[in-house]
Amino acid sequence: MAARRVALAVLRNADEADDAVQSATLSAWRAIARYDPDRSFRAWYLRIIANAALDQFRRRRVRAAEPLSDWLESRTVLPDQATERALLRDRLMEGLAQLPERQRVALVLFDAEGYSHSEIAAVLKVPEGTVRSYVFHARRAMRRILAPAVEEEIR
Amino acid sequence: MREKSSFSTEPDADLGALLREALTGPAPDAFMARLEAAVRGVSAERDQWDTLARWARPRVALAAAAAAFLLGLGVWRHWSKPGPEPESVALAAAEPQGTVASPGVIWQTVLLEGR
Repeated sequence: MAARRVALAVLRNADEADDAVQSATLSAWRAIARYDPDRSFRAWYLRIIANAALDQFRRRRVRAAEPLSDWLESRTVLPDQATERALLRDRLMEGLAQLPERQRVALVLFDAEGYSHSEIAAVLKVPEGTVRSYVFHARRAMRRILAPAVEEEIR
Repeated sequence: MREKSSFSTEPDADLGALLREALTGPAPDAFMARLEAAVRGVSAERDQWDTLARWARPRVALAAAAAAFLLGLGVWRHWSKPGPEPESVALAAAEPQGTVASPGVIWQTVLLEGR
């Protein structure tokens, strides 16, 4: 589910992401009269989800230092190949954590969900060129972070 | 992950797969069930259904038009089976040979009309 993945990319905590998606979905349902049927529904819906996750992330940042996600901690003790896979995933999550939130959203929507630049621009309410820049910088950072883990997996 | 340019305008399938795997939270079905239950719990106002109906109407109409077109195409193909001799072939056979007149014939015609 794209909405859940976007929220998780921003918040990096499964419970918080699920809460954000649920409350944003309910908000969207209540406000559906404001949706313009001539425009893309998924862009409208994802904009609400992304905004909810970004708002929650900002509030949390103001509150205190982030606790480590229980979800990530539960992935650390696994045998052999699964461990390597889990390490790769952890590195990916660490990489995402280092990106600005909007770059995370753009990267997930573009590479994981297959959204076009223009659709992401509609979700984030930024020009298409800005989305291209977000995706470019996010990819470059992720490749730099993931490269050692990928080499380890290939060996 | 294959080596790709960060400038590429195509989605990176490898990075995308890793992201989907890493970001798919636990128990997606249970989450969807919770979400549906939560939405069902919110009373839908008339406006909400109206909006959804407005969104769905053109799509339903499009699907109906596509179905009608396909049905029409099927009926047309069924009734327009080729006969023993197509009309174009019959016309071609009836046409006299050498329809392109030679310069000699044209010259003869001009002379006859000149009389």
